[in-house]
Amino acid sequence: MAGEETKTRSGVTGGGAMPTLKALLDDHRLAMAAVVTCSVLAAALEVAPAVIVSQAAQRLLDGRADQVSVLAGVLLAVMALTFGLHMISALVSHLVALDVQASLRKAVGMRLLRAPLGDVEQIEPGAVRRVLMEDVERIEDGIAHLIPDLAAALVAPLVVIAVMFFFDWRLALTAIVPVVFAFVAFAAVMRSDNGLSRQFSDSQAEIAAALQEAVSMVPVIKAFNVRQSALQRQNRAFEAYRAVVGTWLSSNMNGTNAFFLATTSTLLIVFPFGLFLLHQGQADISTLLFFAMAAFGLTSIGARLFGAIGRLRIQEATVSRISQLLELPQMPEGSQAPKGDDLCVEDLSFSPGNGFELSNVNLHIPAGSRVALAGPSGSGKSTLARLLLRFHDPDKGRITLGGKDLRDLDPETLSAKISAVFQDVFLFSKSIRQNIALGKSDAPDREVIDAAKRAHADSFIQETPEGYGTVLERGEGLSGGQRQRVSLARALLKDAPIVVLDEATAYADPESEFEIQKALDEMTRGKTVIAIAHRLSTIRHFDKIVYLMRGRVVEQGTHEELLALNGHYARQWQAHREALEFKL
Amino acid sequence: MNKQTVPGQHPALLAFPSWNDRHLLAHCLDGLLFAMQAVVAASGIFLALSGTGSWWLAVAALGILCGIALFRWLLLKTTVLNEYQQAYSDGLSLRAGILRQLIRLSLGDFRSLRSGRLVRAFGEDILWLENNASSVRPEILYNSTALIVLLIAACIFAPGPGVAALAFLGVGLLLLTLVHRRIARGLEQRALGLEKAARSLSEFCEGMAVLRGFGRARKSVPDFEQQIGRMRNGARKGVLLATPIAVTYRALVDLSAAGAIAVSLLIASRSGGVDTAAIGNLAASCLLLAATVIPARNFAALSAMLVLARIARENVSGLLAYEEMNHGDVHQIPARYDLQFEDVRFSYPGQSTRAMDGVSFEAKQGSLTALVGPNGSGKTTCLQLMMRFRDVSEGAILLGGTDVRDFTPETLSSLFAPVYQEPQLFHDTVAANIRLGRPEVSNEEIIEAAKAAAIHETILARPGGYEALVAPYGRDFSGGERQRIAIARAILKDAPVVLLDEATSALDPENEHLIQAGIRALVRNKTVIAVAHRLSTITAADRIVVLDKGRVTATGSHDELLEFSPHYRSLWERFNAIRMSHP
Repeated sequence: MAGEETKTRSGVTGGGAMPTLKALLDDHRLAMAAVVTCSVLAAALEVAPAVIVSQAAQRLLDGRADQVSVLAGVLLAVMALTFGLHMISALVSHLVALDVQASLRKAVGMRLLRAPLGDVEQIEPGAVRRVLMEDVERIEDGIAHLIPDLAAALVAPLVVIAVMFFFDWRLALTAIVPVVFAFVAFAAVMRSDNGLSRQFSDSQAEIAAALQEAVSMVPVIKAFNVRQSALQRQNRAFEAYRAVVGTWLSSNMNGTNAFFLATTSTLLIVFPFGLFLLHQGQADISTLLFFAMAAFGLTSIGARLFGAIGRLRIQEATVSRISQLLELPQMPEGSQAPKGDDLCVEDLSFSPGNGFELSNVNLHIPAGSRVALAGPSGSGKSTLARLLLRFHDPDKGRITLGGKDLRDLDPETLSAKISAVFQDVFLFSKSIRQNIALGKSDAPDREVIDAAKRAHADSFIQETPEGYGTVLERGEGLSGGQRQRVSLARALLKDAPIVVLDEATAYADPESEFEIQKALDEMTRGKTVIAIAHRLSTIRHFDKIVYLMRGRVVEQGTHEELLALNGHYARQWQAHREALEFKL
Repeated sequence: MNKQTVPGQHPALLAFPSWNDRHLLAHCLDGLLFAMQAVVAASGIFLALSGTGSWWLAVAALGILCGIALFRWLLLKTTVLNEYQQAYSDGLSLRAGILRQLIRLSLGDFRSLRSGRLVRAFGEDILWLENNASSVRPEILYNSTALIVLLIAACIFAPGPGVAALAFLGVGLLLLTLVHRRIARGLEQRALGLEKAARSLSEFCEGMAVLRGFGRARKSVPDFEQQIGRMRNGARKGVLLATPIAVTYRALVDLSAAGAIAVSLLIASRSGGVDTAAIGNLAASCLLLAATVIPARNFAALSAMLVLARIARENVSGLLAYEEMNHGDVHQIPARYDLQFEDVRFSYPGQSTRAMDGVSFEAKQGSLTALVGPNGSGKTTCLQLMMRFRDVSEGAILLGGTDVRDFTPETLSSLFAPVYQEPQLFHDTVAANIRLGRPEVSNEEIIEAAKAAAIHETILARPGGYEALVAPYGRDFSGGERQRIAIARAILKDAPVVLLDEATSALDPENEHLIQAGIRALVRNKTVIAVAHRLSTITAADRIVVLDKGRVTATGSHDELLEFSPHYRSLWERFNAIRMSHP
């Protein structure tokens, strides 16, 4: 039932369309409308003190002092109302932001659930976590602050100007001169940008990357006594940055200064002109007072708009990073069950776009046989193994398990049939027991311990503070080889009939090579084995060796048959034999 | 202690603003002039109301306001550009300074730095410090000067309301700050409680390949959603606590001005018939009180950025505060390259057990010495101590009779050519990666070294050849190709002592024989110290040093050790078992 529900869910969030921030906000349309309305109303009410003070002055001059106390009351009431509006806007927008964050996190998770694992592998390590935590957190600023702030920044001056026109159109015209001037300057700055701000943030990122690289190279830098001035990437990045900053500042500074000066000189024309009209008897003192106060209030435009542009850019970048995950393709899922464990690759072609392509591969792997995929690095042997695990779907042709296309199989059935042993091991921050029983959570302790013993992991697990109950902090505290053996125990317990293994696993940690080799032997006994072979000596007794070059199967047969062919395999075998004899 | 400070370090961004800074004074002046505009308007209205108004009042106001605008323009033009340039250039110096510091640190201190901290220092920390110098600091001075001037002027026109506004604001801020502190502490604790939910939900996504591989992904969805719900509910409680405070902060500024205005209006209405001069005072002070809202409002955002700058400053200063190693001053290259470990003891910082506990051995010039032993026996530590990536706690390492600590860093580094297990390439041209910062090396020499390292053909086969740009972290080369470039680098360096740390390990087993050819060229006629797991590679070593838990258990040739050292014999048997046990 849970499965059904998630399927429809991912159908909603996925379906090819990118659930952008806007689409997610659509679910909260009413709430956001309330947020914007409240914040706009509050902004509009900012003109109130100017109106009330000028009216009060007029009443006092007219000798109607008794009405002034009412105005004072109105002012206080307006301020209380503004406070209430701000409060509603802030609370509602924050709550909406939290809901959107939750939906975004869920959408990312659901997207990953059906994305091709081959694509997931390509995501830079740590990027998923950064998106889920940092980027999604950053969305809060966009929803809870930026949207209401921008609405207020645009509306507040418009309301002030409208009220100004209501009082006196001549003064209103002179009052908006600096504002118009400011917007001209603003537009000029924006126009002169010409991708400069993009270049600016790019070169900033390049500096960070260059320094990051230098940090990772510190051992080499020390050992070769590389002078800092000889770190070319850093120097280039610094120079590029200096150049961009130089152009940016020289082309922008006058405009930015003009914008700042204009928005903070709003009294410049209107006030002297008001005094002049007053002298001419064409305006009264209360109007002048209103204009002085309201015009000075317009200076807040600058402060409001100033930071908003930068924050808007940050939001853009954030949303695009989140979208990258939400745009991951989705694999079709079937519901059939295979009949038997024979694997068949039929006319398979695949080009993942990174050079490791396969063309016209045909291969039959009967249940219980041991098949090795060999070939030079980059020949496509890992790609082929990943296709068998359905990390990707082929462009042409198909792979069948028990006569059924992998695409028609129920994903859980498929995963129960095949285990993968790759070099990168992911351990969860759960107990060692839970990590081992991942595929069989109801396994009794006895089975878990037995699997650990067979994976040569029991002895070091016993030495951890709480044995099988020790909670791993993302696997920290275990060596690479120990992590590897915990993951092997996991696969042993799962006991799938087909095992795909990248042989490099065995060499990942030379210290535990022996134990890992033993565990692998244990795990592959009596199974169908598909091995990505790097060292040919380890696969010479396999039932079949498939030799690939540039994505094609060029030779196929047993070790002896391939040696007799005296082709590519025989040559690599010869080189390998020599390498084994290497002595310093 | 003073000699430890990093030379050429630019602390400009780390320093607090000093009052004799010309730029900062300019911003104070700017704030003063900005506020003076409101003062001019208030005075104008006061004068107009007291009947002194005539046409010259308008002209005077225009003159003063234009003067102010002109003066401010000049002020901005002469300071702002300069200030930004200064901030960005200081930012670059600071980055270079941090990197310089990292290079000079002992590897131990360097390794103890969490990488997240460095990423932050080079990333956002510097950006906040630049932002602080170019915008935040100037803005704070500008706004606070303007606020003070406006309040003083308001008090001059009508002391009562001005003081009332000030008192109201002061008490309100004080109260809120107290409440806020308590709430902030509560929020922090709540955030800690949510960390587990956050980790669990991101592990669902990060471990997706494993979850799916074990048919566990769909089953974990309800838990995933539950963690998301927990995070949201936790955050909700936080919002309901913190948001009202934030809104009230913001409102206080507006409310205190409005409250003061309302109070003065009430007083005026009570006193009944007021004269025009009193109305003038009232109008002027109301105008100024309303004006204080403009600079005061900015403080909330500015103080948030100040906090970020302070955190950044602490992080960066912390990095710069590490002390670098003491260096000797022996320039002279020793006459012989015999290497001697004399009762070397060493423990890693924060660990009670010794990583090396009295290690002594000798490696003769021109000989091959192999270090073997299980994980954690101290093999790699030996290499690091020789190169002074770390320093021995007790004992000494001598090279040609001189303690390695007595050499200058340049001399010491010129004596060693290391090849690590994981070769590292710069995002620079292939040629530059082999040359590694030595402009005097000719192209012919580079090609010579590349040929010897069996990588020349591979380089030529790629578009751009030696001038082709290597992708970041060398991603466009296979592990074996990277290793051979690193070997070419070491061959070119032509140092008398070659250090091999698992250099033949199986990064690229398909091309292992090529790596081996490179290593053969590298070690010819050199003093070689090799850490090796594949014992078959070092059976011909002149001396094998068998290490276990930081002690030397035996030394000798392969044949001698097989005969006399049970420890070595078990290592050898284990190694052979692996070779034989492969199916």
